[in-house]
Amino acid sequence: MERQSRNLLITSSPPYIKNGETVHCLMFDVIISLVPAALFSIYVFGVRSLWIIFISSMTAVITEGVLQLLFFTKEFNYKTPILSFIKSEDITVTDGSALVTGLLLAFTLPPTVPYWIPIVGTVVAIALGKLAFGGLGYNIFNPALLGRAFLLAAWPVYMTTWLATINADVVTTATPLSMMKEDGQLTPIINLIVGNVSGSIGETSVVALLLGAAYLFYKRTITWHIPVSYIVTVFVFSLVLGMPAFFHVFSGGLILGAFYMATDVVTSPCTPKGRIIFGCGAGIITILIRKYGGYPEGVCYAILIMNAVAPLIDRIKR
Amino acid sequence: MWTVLVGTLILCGCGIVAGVTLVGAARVFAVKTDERVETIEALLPGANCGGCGNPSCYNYAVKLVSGEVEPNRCVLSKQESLQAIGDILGIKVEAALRRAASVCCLGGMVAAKQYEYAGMPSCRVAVLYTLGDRQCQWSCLGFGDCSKMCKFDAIYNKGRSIPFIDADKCTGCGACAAVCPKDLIKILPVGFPYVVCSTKERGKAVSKECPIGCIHCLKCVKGCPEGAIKEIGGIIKIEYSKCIQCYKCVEECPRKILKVLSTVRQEEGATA
Amino acid sequence: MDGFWPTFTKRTLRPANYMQEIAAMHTEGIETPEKVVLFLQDFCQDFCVKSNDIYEVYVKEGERVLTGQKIGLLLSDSKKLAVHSSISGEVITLGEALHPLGWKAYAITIKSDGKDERAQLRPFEGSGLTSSKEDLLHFLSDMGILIDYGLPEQVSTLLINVTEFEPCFSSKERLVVEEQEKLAKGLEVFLKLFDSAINTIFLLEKRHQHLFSNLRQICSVIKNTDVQVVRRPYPVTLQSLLRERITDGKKTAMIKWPNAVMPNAVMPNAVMIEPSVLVSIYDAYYKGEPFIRQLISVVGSAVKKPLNLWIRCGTTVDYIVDRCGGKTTNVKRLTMGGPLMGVPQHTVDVPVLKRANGISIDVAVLFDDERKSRVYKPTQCIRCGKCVDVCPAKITPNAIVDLIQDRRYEEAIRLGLFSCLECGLCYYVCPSILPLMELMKMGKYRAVGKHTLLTYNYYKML
Repeated sequence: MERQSRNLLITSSPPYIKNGETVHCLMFDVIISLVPAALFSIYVFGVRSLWIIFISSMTAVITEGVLQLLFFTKEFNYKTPILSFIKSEDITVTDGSALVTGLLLAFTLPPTVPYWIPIVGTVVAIALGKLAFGGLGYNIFNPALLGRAFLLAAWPVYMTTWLATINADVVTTATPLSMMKEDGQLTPIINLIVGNVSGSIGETSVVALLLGAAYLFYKRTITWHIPVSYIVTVFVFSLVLGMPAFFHVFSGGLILGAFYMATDVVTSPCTPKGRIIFGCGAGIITILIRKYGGYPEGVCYAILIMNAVAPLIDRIKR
Repeated sequence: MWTVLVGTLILCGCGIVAGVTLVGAARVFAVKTDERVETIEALLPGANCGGCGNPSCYNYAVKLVSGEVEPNRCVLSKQESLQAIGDILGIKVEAALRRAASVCCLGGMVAAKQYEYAGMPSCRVAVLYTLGDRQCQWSCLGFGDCSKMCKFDAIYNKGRSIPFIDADKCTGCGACAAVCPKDLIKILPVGFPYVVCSTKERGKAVSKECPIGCIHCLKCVKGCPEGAIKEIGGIIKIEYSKCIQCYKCVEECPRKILKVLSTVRQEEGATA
Repeated sequence: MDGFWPTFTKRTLRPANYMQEIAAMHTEGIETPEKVVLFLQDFCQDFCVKSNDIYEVYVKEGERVLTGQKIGLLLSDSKKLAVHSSISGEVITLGEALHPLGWKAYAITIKSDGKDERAQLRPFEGSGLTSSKEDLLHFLSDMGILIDYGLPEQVSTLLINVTEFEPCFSSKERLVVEEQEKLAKGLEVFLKLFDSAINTIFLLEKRHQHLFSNLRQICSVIKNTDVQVVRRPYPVTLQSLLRERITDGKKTAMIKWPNAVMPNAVMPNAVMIEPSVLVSIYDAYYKGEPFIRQLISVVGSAVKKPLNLWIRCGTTVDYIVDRCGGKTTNVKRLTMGGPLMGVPQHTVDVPVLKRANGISIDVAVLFDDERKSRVYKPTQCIRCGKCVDVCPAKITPNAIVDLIQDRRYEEAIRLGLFSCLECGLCYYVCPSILPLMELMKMGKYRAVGKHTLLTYNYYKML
């Protein structure tokens, strides 16, 4: 047709430019920022922590891939499995969110756990925490924390056996928080900041975690609202309750939780005001659990509770 | 052993007490409703399609019992169930004209392009830019917003094409017509002729834009023995009250634009 | 696959200045195009599409017109605006032509005779009008300059928007650098429209700080004038919001002023204008030259040399393409008004928009020879809230778009659907690549009822 030979312009809605950011980028920023903490944990707890991180992240990716293959794909050509796996629109393993979940779950585990614990944990985290709700973007709770909460409830002994640091023998000790809770014994702040204490794989070193967080701020992957409001609330509220404020800020998983868990984009509110409320709420619940609760550590449950409230906060604080 | 027995007994006891209380409560606090509403609601299809003008089948049943509406307003029910509803209400049910949706565009992807559309694949978005990428203002855009609205799987698109409407499954609820940004989908009675082109242009202007569009030759208007077909404001309209289903207009049409809306249909419309 | 591999570069929340080099480009002029198309129905780009359907034509087909001759009049509710021929030549057609905003509108097409003979100039001095406010407004509308936001009584601040929201264009910058004296004198004239002394603030972006000294020179001439450096640029449509806010305070849209943008948190008594308006006011007031030329930026990958051009109003785009060393057959995408908020065009035969949205006379044309966007597939929203962070209207695009997709328009309106400025930043930052802006636009039309669009376009047939 002669009409078709005319030069037809392309028309679409205006924003023709994009800053090139994708979900993929966001997730890989988080992974890159977790590298210093992971390296530090390998230095402190030995190769065992590397294995736990590796097993956990691999299980997460495999679980997500297999489950999406089984339940999420509408059309899958089994004759060319690899090609259709890559090209399928429904399979989104490649966006890296499963890898982040697996890494973060491994970071919350003690270095002494048997190797099947991270496997069970990540399967629960991915299957129940994420894919049961419909995949990335639909989940209510942070999947990594959901997995940890499950493990803590199911195998409390494994989850609370800690390893003494640096000279990584099989000498079990208690974390600074449980020492504080049971004996009223305070660990020096400098040890907490450097990471020369026992604890979960990723949570010990404040310096390494802040290094990663600085990268996230530089890439604008996270905003300041949640971490700052969370940490400030913990500081102020522990002062109000007459507890050692600096100790509470630097001990336990607070830094890890504030910068990586609570800022999980899917499960936190999207407005700036909502994020501040979210951070404050998480801080108050954390201190309440640490002071009055049965557990020495409250970050995990505080963030999970606030995750459940996040849609409500979104609704109120538009 | 003893503890197990005690536990079981306590549990059973709790169950029995709760059950008895609930049964009692249901009896005491029961709200008096017309029993016919429930039976009629069971007879209705329960799709809550909104085709009758009520938000749900329950509301429709309540209105039926109070005598506000006729039973044949339900587009989904089969004749037998309508009869059964009539029996319950004690009224005679007349068969309603069966209506189905039809896309009044024949050209669609065949019509000449004015630009390449690269935006979101949705008719409602594409129509914001000079009413779509076809030169004909009245052409179907074929992204299938209507097929996503259909609750009965009666409409489907094969890629970008004029949607195919399965008149057997179509209930005439009008959800697709409401979403069509160009008003190309019309709810028309089954078994009558209809015009499969919505253009208001005439003659040469049409054939420039679309090779198979209606050129308004008005042969159908002249050929109709009952005078049921008229051209008003560029649109050819058929008065269905006058139509005697002689299908002379369908034979007269030189471009085969008039068609009979039948429940058994061939897949129509060219794909790009 | 840009965006697949992680990079260490900082992601910006706002588009950077993509074309720095054209900032230094001197403006050039196309003097007489072969033909111009002048519309007598100018449509408002703002939402609530409404056309000024009443118009008067002073010329007949085949008549010879001179440059600057009044050929028509545009009337709407209480305003009127003269349309002048921008070249000398012969009127070839009177009738409907394709408008850049997508509809067909009544237009006068004039073919040039190449002589560019000028009609008599009528400066304000010799026109016999008094210097009262009404007379000045009448004079300006007679000269084709639209001051259409019906100046309110209690204006306390005049904002002159030197910020450029679109990333590629530098016409405003060049205007400040080259036409500095005209700006100052035009501003003096414009200030006569106000009874009391008011503050004038030039809004300048941080990245354009080299203009600071130029603006300070203007400030030294005129009293109560200041330059304020703002962090973020204004979208052009923000002005229409401002206008709404001035004309009727009861507008339903929940407009919250972005604190970071506005110098003071809320400025209900402010008027915002573009610097180009001041230049054309100067031309009209002192030289008697009606509004027949405008400054545009021409950028894009199909253009050999990006340019700032002074063109005659109504010049068609294919002429500009030829002038800029491009081939019309190479143009694949044509946009009027920039990559974020522009109006997409589907043919190169359209004339350049005379007024983008009733206030601004700044227009930029963007050509591209290939598709640049839409290489990604949209995925599920991950509720990261980046669209909320960047939104200048302080609404939550992700929540509104969710509601629009469910066709719950009333709730969407309650969340501020109509506050949306259609600036496109939400799409620019969205990591899930959701077509947020398209959906917002669609939602606006569907929320009012789909028939607004249809009846509007079918008016000639019904």
